[in-house]
Amino acid sequence: MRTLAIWSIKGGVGKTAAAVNIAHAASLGGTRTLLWDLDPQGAASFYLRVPAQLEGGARIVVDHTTDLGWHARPTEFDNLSLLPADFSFRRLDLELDATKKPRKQIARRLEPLTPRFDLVIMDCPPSVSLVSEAVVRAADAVLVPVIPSTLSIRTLEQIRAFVAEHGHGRTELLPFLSMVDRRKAMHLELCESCLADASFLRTVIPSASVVERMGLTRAPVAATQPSQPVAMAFAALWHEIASKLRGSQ
Amino acid sequence: MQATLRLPKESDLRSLRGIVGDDFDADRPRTVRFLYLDTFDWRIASSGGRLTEETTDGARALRFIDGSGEPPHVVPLAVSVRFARELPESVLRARLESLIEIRALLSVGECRVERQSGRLRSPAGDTAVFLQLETSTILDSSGRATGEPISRIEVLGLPGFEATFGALVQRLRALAATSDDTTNLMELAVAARGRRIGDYSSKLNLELDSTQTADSALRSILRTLLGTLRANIDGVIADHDPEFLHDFRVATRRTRAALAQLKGVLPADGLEVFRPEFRWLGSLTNPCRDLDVYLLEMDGFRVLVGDSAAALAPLQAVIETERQVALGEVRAGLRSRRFQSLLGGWQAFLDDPPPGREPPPNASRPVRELASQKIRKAYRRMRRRGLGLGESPPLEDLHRLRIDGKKLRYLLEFFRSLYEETEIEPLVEQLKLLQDILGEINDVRVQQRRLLEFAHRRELAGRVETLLAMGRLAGALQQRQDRLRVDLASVFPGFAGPEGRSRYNSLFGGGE
Ligand SMILES: Nc1ncnc2c1ncn2[C@@H]1O[C@H](COP(=O)(O)OP(=O)(O)O)[C@@H](O)[C@H]1O
Ligand SMILES: [Mg+2]
Repeated sequence: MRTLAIWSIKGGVGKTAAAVNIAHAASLGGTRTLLWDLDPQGAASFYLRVPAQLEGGARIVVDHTTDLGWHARPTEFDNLSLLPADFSFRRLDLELDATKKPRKQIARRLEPLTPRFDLVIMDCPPSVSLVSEAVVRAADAVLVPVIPSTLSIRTLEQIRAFVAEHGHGRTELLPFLSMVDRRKAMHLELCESCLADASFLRTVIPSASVVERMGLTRAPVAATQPSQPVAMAFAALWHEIASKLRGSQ
Repeated sequence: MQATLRLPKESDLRSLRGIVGDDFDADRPRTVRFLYLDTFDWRIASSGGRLTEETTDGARALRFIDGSGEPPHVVPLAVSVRFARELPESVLRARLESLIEIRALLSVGECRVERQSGRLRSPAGDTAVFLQLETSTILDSSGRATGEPISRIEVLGLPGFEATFGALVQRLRALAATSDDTTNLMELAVAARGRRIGDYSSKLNLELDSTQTADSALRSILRTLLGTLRANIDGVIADHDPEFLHDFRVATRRTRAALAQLKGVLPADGLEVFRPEFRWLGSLTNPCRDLDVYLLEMDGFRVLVGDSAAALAPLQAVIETERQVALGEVRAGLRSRRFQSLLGGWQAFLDDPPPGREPPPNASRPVRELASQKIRKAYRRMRRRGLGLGESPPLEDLHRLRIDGKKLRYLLEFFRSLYEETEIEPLVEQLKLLQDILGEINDVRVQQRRLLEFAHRRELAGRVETLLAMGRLAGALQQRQDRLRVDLASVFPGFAGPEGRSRYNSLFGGGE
């Protein structure tokens, strides 16, 4: 089982859009995927038409007497299950803090899922917190959406430092360009300088109205508009990530 | 929450709309060709799972349901798979590998399904219930429809939507001509191919009765073994996987062992003609099996030689070519008149043995008495030989010990149903452990010998890397053999020591 965290210090950069569409792309290929919605706002749960409620709430993350997998719910898509968010996740930091080894909690909770899932994707809230430390610790790779702006690129350096500090040593940092508008000269310019950095994934996710409309369709783009370029871009992004994950095995 | 209901014949989701409700979101109808897959010995079905290959609109996928209530695992396929190892790395592959091991997936049944699926949403737009209406037509082995199409609807409620689920199922049940459905489509599809789920197992499942005479018991053992022989012929010829030949050979060996060890039960003069024929069957299949074992070990060999793994490829090629030749001989043998008349003659003999000059001395003895006597004897022989072995016995002696063990094991397997399960099973298990070690020692011995033979092959002449890798392999095999000898020394005392001995004595009598 491989674990992928989608995280950034910034909100609104396309984390959840990436989490849902990448999870869907993976599941289409036969990868048994669990998407874990760790954001109390529950956007990923909403997109997959699952109520953002969890019996037991945030406690289940630290309660080792239960199996996290019990809370996984099937979605409308083969191979794709969802661990829904819950509003109580806003207190997840406190729950973690009350344990002996807060930063190891999530990794330990994921371990028993190995015989059931090939891939766990964690969609994270944009905070710097104990939760993000525990998530980064549990991840084989951290996927970071970067909007082409000077500020975003500066934040990436902070993220890099954070992952270096809290990762498990072999944690890969995988930044990718998100919401790129090719009509904007500055976007193109900044894209070019980002892609000069070899750590960036090669696939670029364009800004596309079908992604925005996911709030209405409540489905991954490829499920409703498979031939849209952005749907293919998410699929390509997944393939690139998959080969990185295989390489790091 | 799940319910399956049988529907009136021509149902479709449109006609059910009034019942299902308008907030129903339906996929477009699809025609799916369904192949049920399992191994010849039903390893998937007997684990409670179900594996199907589904083709719809030209797209092919493998679908596995493990029977625990987990959602299915669906893997798109470019081409059909025959072995678990051909699947991409995944949870499914791991599951199948442990379930079916080296056995091939065979198509055991076929259906054509008109499928309409959809889902019911809650007022908030969340998914509440999945629905799947399927009209299935079972096809026979030539692809022709058999029987009436079967329409059923499957309803799956998601946690939190119990009320929606309950109400819908109630409305469906209230429909005329619906009923709860327990039809097993796979069973029907398999039956249309002339088989039955579970109709073959490589285990010897005999139910003998202690009041039976030795004669009737032995004949029922031999008839079962003949059934196994017959069952595997097509699979050996088609070469689906190496287990067909393996099971075929085991049945041959068991037959020979039964004849050799249970003398004086069947009329001797009628029997004489068959002994050389079964021996011939053994030697006909020996070379092919040896090479099968070699090929099965190849992955392990590559691990043993580490860096030089790639250098073993030419060796593999030599073995594969040779195996093809050996298989050709097996096929010719199984198609020969000699084999056909062996099968026919043997069947006739078992059904109606020719009257001998005088009734065989053991024929009418109670089977349990005879069994206990033979098991006692076989145990004593093996025990004595084992105890007589010195510090590091020559391989030849270990080989003989293994043969003794085989005889004992076959007897235990033939007659296990005559004894209390809790008493005989531990003995079977103990012996199995012992035989696994002895068998492996023997395999290593055969492999070492073959390795030397292969090294002289013209095809490998001058292939220095390959020959060096083979040298490393020989060294690794030697180490394995040494470890196995240590294992043997630790297991054998449990079998031959006072405790093992008293267990045998108390179960099979005769404490002298
Ligand atoms: N590739 C894209 N093209 C256009 N809009 C996007 C794209 N990705 C995300 N969005 C929109 O941007 C907003 C924030 O995206 P979201 O994925 O929720 O970000 P995050 O999870 O990082 O907060 C949402 O309204 C979403 O619809
Ligand atoms: Mg988000």
